[in-house]
Amino acid sequence: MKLIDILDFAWSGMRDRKLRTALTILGIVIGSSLIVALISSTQGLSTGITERVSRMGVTTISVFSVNPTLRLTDEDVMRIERVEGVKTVIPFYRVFAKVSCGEKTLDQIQVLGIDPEKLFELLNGLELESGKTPSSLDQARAIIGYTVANPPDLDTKFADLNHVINIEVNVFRRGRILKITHPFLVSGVLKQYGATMLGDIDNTVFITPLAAKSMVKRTHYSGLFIIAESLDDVDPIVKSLTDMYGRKVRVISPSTILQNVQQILYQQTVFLGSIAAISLIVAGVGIMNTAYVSVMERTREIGILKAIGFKKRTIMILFLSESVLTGLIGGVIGVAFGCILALSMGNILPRFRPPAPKRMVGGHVQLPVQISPELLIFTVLFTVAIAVLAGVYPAWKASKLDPVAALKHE
Amino acid sequence: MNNFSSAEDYIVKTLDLWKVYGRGRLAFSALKGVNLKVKRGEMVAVVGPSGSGKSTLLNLLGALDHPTKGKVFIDNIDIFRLGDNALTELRNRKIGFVFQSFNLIQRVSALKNVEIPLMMRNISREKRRRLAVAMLKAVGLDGKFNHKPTELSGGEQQRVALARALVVRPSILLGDEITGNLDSKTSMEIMELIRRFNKTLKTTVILVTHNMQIAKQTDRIVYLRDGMVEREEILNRKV
Repeated sequence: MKLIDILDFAWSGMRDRKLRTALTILGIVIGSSLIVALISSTQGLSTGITERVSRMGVTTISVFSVNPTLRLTDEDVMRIERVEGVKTVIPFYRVFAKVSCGEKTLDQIQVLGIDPEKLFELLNGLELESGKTPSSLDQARAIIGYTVANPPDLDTKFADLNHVINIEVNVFRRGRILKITHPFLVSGVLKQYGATMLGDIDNTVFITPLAAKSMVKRTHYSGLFIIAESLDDVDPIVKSLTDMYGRKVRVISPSTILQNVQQILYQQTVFLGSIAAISLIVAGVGIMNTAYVSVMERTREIGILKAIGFKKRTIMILFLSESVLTGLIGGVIGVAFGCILALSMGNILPRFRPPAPKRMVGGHVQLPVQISPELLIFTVLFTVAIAVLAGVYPAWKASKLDPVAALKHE
Repeated sequence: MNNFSSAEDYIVKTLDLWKVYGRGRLAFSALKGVNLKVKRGEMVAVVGPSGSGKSTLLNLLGALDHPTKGKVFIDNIDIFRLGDNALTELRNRKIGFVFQSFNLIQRVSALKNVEIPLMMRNISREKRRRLAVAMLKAVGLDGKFNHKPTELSGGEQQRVALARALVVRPSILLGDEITGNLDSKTSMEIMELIRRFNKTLKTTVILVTHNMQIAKQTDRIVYLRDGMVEREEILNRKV
């Protein structure tokens, strides 16, 4: 029997029980789409985080004080600069402020006080769209990120080159919170860059450390970035920092982050993938049920086919084809639906964020989704394999039916 | 493979054919050593009361069932020495079945029903369609090719079943109470068709029936009682 005839016959059998076939396919669609959506989201997340971390350069180490008694000052900068393998130390101030330009205001914008020249050394590929970087001693100029200049929720630009923006920060003074506003001239607008370990660069205003220091009225830095001479120097520097400060600082190196993140995400991929696979296996049980009921209902038809001269093998292939077609249709629709689901998750999920990262306002960061062709092919093949496994027993039962008994079946 | 030599050309021959259902005290012998010879092109009716073993005999002749003892030769081939696949192929190539309850596949059209036996022969779609259309026309169903069985009358359904059985040009047509579900007029029409195919296609016909009116339209009547051939009545010596 030709393949086209087998498929035609199987299809007519499926069409004969439209609702049951549709429900079985639905089960498969749910399972396979979950596999695609969950795995591509976690893979995307992994790639996204890797990209964010790598943007800072794999030789960059971050140091933050986690103990109020330890305040990172210029002394610490000089001390760390003497550590072997350290190329440069970049201290920074980090505050969240209200930024206004004319009548327009943006709340909770990240303001980083960092040496403008070193900023470009720190962030690979960061470029100015217009303007120029202020000198490290300039206390009146600022560079603004792309989203600050062009907030997605505003129809017009928020600020542009040579505009004056006002940064309003809260300063603690003698137990009171004072609101202090500083004007800055926009000397540069950055090109779109994305999120990094430093937060969402596009949603940040950069000023010089001197300006930040005078604005927040404090001498200690929010943190330090240490750039190592080479990747081999990273671990010894981390060790030296731990020796120097003990548990008073949090030292983060990209390699450690990547290792941890990738391990967690791998576990997450396996966990979510397993859940999706189980749901697909459940759908496979659905296929088996449908196929089994179909064999019972079509016992007489099997008897007719046997009387006509259909071989056992052909009858088995006919019934197995129905299961395979169900799996294939469900798999293909599921994969397509899974892609849509993954992309939707990429857009919707970032809206459900814990409060802290919400400080990066002015739109949301899209969750990266990585839909690989391999994943799609694997999912369809896996679905078909489940369908084959589920369909084998009912098809075998059909092929083994006694023709005389089958013909008498009512 | 056993051959048997015969001066006459027997297309079907059974030797001491037994069929026992069940075991021990519950054992029931449906056939008790049936010896039957059918000549090529002959039209035979097997009659007998219910439980006489008519359908069991037909199932064995059509290789749908296996005998407990004895042999069935079709075209000098001891069919139950064949393997499963060869037996199925023999069924497809040499035997056509027509049943009392038509046994059509309800979800497909009359045309498709007739095409189904040809699918096993790897015949191209176009040729298959041509053969099926010709066969449906031959049984008088021109214009009803795309009707599903449920849209056809009993007589029309039996015509489709007949077309399906004959489309592969089998050597033998086996019919099990083929007019059992039809009124007498339609029964006569179907018998007329069968007689015509018997004559034109030289198809050997073996009909199981308890309708003597039908049986009398054949060349020979074999009377079966309690699983044994009671007697035979020759009606037409043309063969």
